[in-house]
Parts: sequence; C-alpha cells; structure tokens
Amino acid sequence: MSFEFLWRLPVHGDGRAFRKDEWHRGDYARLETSRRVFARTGLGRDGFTYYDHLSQIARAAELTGFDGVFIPQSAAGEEPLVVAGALAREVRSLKLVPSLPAPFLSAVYTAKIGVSFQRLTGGRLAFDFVTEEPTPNAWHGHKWSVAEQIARTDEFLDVVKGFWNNKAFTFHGRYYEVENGGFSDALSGQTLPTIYLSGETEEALALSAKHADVHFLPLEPAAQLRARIADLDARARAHGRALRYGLQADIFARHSDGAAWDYVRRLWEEAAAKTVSISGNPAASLPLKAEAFDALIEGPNLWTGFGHVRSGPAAGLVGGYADVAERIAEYVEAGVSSFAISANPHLEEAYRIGEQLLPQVRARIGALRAA
Amino acid sequence: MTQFHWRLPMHGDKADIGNSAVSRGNWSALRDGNQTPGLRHGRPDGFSYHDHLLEVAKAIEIAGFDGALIPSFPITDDPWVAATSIARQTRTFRFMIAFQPEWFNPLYAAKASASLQRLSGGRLLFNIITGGGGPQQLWWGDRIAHDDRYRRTTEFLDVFKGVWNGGPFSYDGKFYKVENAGLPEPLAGQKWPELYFAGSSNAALEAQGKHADFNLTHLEPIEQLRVKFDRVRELASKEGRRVKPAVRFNIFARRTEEEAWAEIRRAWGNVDWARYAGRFGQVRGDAVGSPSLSMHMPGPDKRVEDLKIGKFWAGFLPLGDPPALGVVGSYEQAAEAIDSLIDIGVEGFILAGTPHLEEALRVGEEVIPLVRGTAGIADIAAE
Repeated sequence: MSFEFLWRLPVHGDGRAFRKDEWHRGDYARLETSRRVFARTGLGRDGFTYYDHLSQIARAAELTGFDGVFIPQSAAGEEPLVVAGALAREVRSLKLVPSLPAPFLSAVYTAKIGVSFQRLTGGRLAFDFVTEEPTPNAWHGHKWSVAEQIARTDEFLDVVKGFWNNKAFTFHGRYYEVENGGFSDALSGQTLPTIYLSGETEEALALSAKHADVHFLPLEPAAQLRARIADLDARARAHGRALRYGLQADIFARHSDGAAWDYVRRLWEEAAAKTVSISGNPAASLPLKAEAFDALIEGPNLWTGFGHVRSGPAAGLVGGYADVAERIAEYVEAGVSSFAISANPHLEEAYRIGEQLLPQVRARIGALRAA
Repeated sequence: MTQFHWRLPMHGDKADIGNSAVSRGNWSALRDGNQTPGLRHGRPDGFSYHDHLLEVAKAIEIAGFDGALIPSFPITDDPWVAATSIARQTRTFRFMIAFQPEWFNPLYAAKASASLQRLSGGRLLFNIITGGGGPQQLWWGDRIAHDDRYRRTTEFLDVFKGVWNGGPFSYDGKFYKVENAGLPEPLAGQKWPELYFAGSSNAALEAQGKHADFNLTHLEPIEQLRVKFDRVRELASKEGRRVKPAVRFNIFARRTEEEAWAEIRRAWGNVDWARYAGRFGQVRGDAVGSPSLSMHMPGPDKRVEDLKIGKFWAGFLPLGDPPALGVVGSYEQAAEAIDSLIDIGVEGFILAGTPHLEEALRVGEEVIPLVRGTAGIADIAAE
C-alpha cells in the first residue's frame, strides 16, 4: 500500500503560540501583545503579503519530502482555490489539495476549474469537499443543514465526474441540470482529481462510500479506527468500490517524549493564562485551565486539546520522534494511507517533521512491509 | 483615467493570423513548430498552455497595459486558474476575470475575490457576463429564462457588494437569501474589483445602471455606439451613478497602411470558409447584443475592401479573431480610431491582436503613445 504525507497550510495566520491573537505572521487576528512586530508577512510593508509566507512553507514541504499540501477551508482565511493557484507554479511536484464547499459552487464550473488546474500543474490537483455545521453567526449567512449540504455534494460529484468522463453528458437532478455537456478535445483526457471527503454522520459515510477516493477519519487510537474502516469498506464494496483512508492531525514531535509533552503543556499554560477562550465555537470549548491538560490525553501520544485553542482537527499526536513514528506506523497497519498534518509555526515545523520524523516513519513502514 | 487592457488568448493562439490552425496550445493537432506543448522527438515536451499565457501576461505588463481580459468559454482554460497562477509572477498586471454569476454562490465569489485581492495587491477586475442563454447555457448546467437572467445577475451583485466590506448583511431575493452575512476580517474591505459588464438589452442596461463600473460592448459603428452610450448614461443616472463606456476590438496595425492591408489580404486568401461556417455560422443563443452588420457579413464572395465601415473593418471573424469589427491600418490610423472613441466618451479599452504576445508589444509601443491626450500608458501607470 502506498501512503502520502500532506502538509496542512496555515491559511488563517501562523505563529509559535497556541493562541491566534499572538500570531505575528499574517493579519488574521488583532495582536494582543504590545511587542513590536518583526515579521513582514501580511502587513503590507515592502510589498510582502501573507502569500509569500504560504509559498515559503509549501516549498519547505517540498524540499523536506512531503507529497503535497492540504489547503483547509476556514471562515476568515485565504480561499484555498486562490492559494492553490498561487502555489501551482512555485512548487514542482507537490500535490495540491484545496478544500472547497461544494454547495457554494457550480458543478460544471468546478469541473472546468479542475481541468484547467490539471493542465496548469501536470495533474497535481486533488479536491477535498467539506460540509460544516450551520451556526447562527456563519459569515456566509446560509443555514443549510449538513444533510442538505451532503445531498447537494452527492449530485455535485455525480455531475463533476459525469461531465469529466463523457463527451455528451446530460443530467437532470434535484439541484443540478446539464444538457449536452462534456469537454472538447483540447480539455479532455486530464486525470480526474482525487476526491477527499470526511464526516461521521450516516449521510457522510454513504456519500464517501459512493464518491470518495480518500475518506478522512477522526484521529482515535488505531483499534477504534479499524472498526470504522471495516464499516466503510463494507459500504464501499456495496458500490463496487474501495476507499483509501486519511487522518488530519497536528503533530508536536521532539527528540524525546518528555520534551514534546513539556513543550505542548507550556503552550497550553500560556494560553490558559489568558482569560478569553479563542476557540471558534465557545459553547463547545472548555475553560482553558491548566489542570484540564491531562484530561485531554486520550491515548498513547494522543492529545485532544487542539480543538480548544484553534479551529481545525481537535486531536493530535504529541511525543518523541520514535513514539510518534510508531503511532503512525500503527495507523498505516490499520489501513490509513493519507496523513494531512501540521504544527505551529508551520515553516520551521515542516522542516522538523520532514527531516526528523518522516524518515523514521518510512523506515517503520518499510519494516512492516518486509515482515 | 482611461484604462487600456489587452486580452489573454484563452482559446489558443497562433503564430500567424494568416494560418487558421492554432499552433500555440493544443486546440489543433500538434505539429512540428507548435509550442506549449511543443513536440520534442515527436512527443509533447511537457510545457502546458499556461506557460504561454504567462509569457503573454508578462508581455502585456511590459508593454504598459493595465491588464487583460481573461475570457471564459466552454473550450477555454479557466480564468481563475490563470489569474491566480499569474498573480505571483507579475507585478502590475490586472486580471479581468470573465465571470457568470451562476458559477459561484455570491458569498463564495466574494471570499475568493477578496483572497485574490490580498494575493495580488488589488489587481482584480471582472467582466460580468450574464450568458447568451440557449444550449450553451445548459452546457454550463444552467437553465434560466432570458428575462430572469439579469435579475439573477443584479441579485448576485447586490449580495456580492453587500458583504464586501463586512456585515451584517441580509437579503431575501428570488435567487439568493442570506441572513447576517459578511466577509470576516481581514478579508473584508479589500480594494473593490471594478466591474465591466457586457450586455445590450434593456434588462442588461438596467442591471448595469445599478452595479456596473463600465459598460463593455463590442466595437460597433460610431453612431450606433453613441446612441448606446447615451442610453447607458441615462439608465445609470436614474440610479444616481455613472457607468463608463468601454469597447473591445482587435487592432491590426503596421508601420504603413499598405503594409497592414497587404497582410490582411494574405490572411483573407487563406481563410478556411468551411471552418468559419462551422465556428460562427451556427445558431446563437437568445442574446440580442450582436451588432447588426448584415450589409458587411463576411463570405468567400466578399473582398477585403467590401468590409470597411468608416474607420473600422468587419472581417475579423473569418480570421478566427472575434469580435467581428476592428481596426486595420497604420499606427497613426489605429491611434486615430482610438481617439474617435475617446471623443464619444469611451474610458475603457480591451484591445487584442494575434499573435497576442507580439501584437501586445507592438500596440503598446507603437500605437498607444500616439493616442491624443495620453502621454502613453506607461507614464499613466507610473503616476
């Protein structure tokens, strides 16, 4: 089984701290510190923009052996479609995985964008499609339920794939309608982008069984993931398909287990010292208390505190390089083959993980295969 | 200040306007001498058409143009993909993305646009197209009645504008309903991307009065344009706004008038009329904007001279280079034609010529500096 490591780009700011309002890279939060700002990115000084930082991170990921970049959808961050276009010619071989909200896009137009991206990048585009819980204060002012978003995404993917693969494509659905579609010769023959999906609801699992190439699972101990994988395998088989599986996680790895935990605990305590919770969903967040840290450890090297300090995946891996590599090898053994990972600050940590952790992971997976 | 744009050849490009086969890109069969992709030892060399688009964009920038229209048709590459990848490789080049409101939800369009403004330092503009209706619209997956189309475009722009500087913005339209929407910081409040807006029907002009910054029309005989622009002004003033006239056309200019026409005659002799009939002879959608040039319809029975209309020439479609009406002549004559349009109030130009890289440099260097009342666009850009 082949496997891939994608570096998740910080499209809504970057910095060393846990708390967004202490990030000096980008202008995504009003800085609460009185320190003089040193970093140039995103300040409009000297012509630099935050995209210069994103570009540097992507190149670092390429140089240190990652297979691609995952570009997450976020409320107030840069739009992944735009980021993918900006980076397309700045990295040579990295796969680009922008995360897009399908219900907000025309299916035909998305297929067209996909074809053009494949022509631009030599076939390096993949699509991640997301749904989100409707909240009263969503910036986009829409209150589509997740079930409705998934129903739309289902038809959307029927159209994207049908349009891509057929010369005279006609479709009459509930949300989408196409007559005599399909790409002309110059645009046809490109590789359909790999489709990444996620979600744990019944509707989401059914959608993945039908349409996903890769399904992102929640980060849990490997034994629990095996059950989820067995379930999804069966659902996909009913469609005559086979899925691959992915995980999204922050990874804080250091030369030893103790050093990694000390570091994350210190970040947590610094964040907890402030009174305001900055989680995107205050109702769901714990008060950031120093003593809550240990309660968030849910397995060997598995810590679920990340969701309380920033948006994105709740759980992540913390530990020494050898231990984290061991956990990842366990996931590979359980059937996971895509890892979309990140850590703050993203440039330095791309080097650390690419140079120190991934070689150990590859060695372990090699050993697994040999055995 | 008058804007001068060029056009990115999203439909393929060719080395010689006198040869109908596309030789830049893969819109015709690849042959020796083709580029992006080229053939090395009989195989595609790994370059893609985007490499050519980037070369053209850089030439447009160096030639002093403000930017370029990036058209979007079923056969073309996509303007968002082109613009986002060109953005970091150019400095002042402005990308005018051709866009139909149906393609994105207005909230997503606003977010992607704001992000592109942050990427590029505010170099985005739009050519808002409402679509010709008919079978082509269904290719895009869009079934909508002709009269509803402009209502949708108006609603789309109501919402796009409404959320641009932040919220809360609520809207209860026929096509779009949002509640307390608004771009979040720091995406909110980016530089506004000016809207060029195509369409000539009453519904189109009314929609433009409300939202357009520029009314964009194909070149037409001067008197027809004068009437149209008066109507644009009238409908915009009802909304208390000013909409600036803009025109798009091809320029084929050479050192002397004789040289230009000699080249055009050579190209005319090589027109593949069967191919022309196949590409432009088909039934169109239900758009009403196409100029009535029936007296000057090109065909194998027509001579080049038969297609002259005042300072303009109506033979560009058979050369594979829409729109139909354009300018042929010496550098001085081309500049005079631009002057005559400035005289009737035109404030935006989208010019083009094939091959797009070479002709961008030629028009930028040789024609624009002769336009009266401009000190040359390079100087304007420096202001």
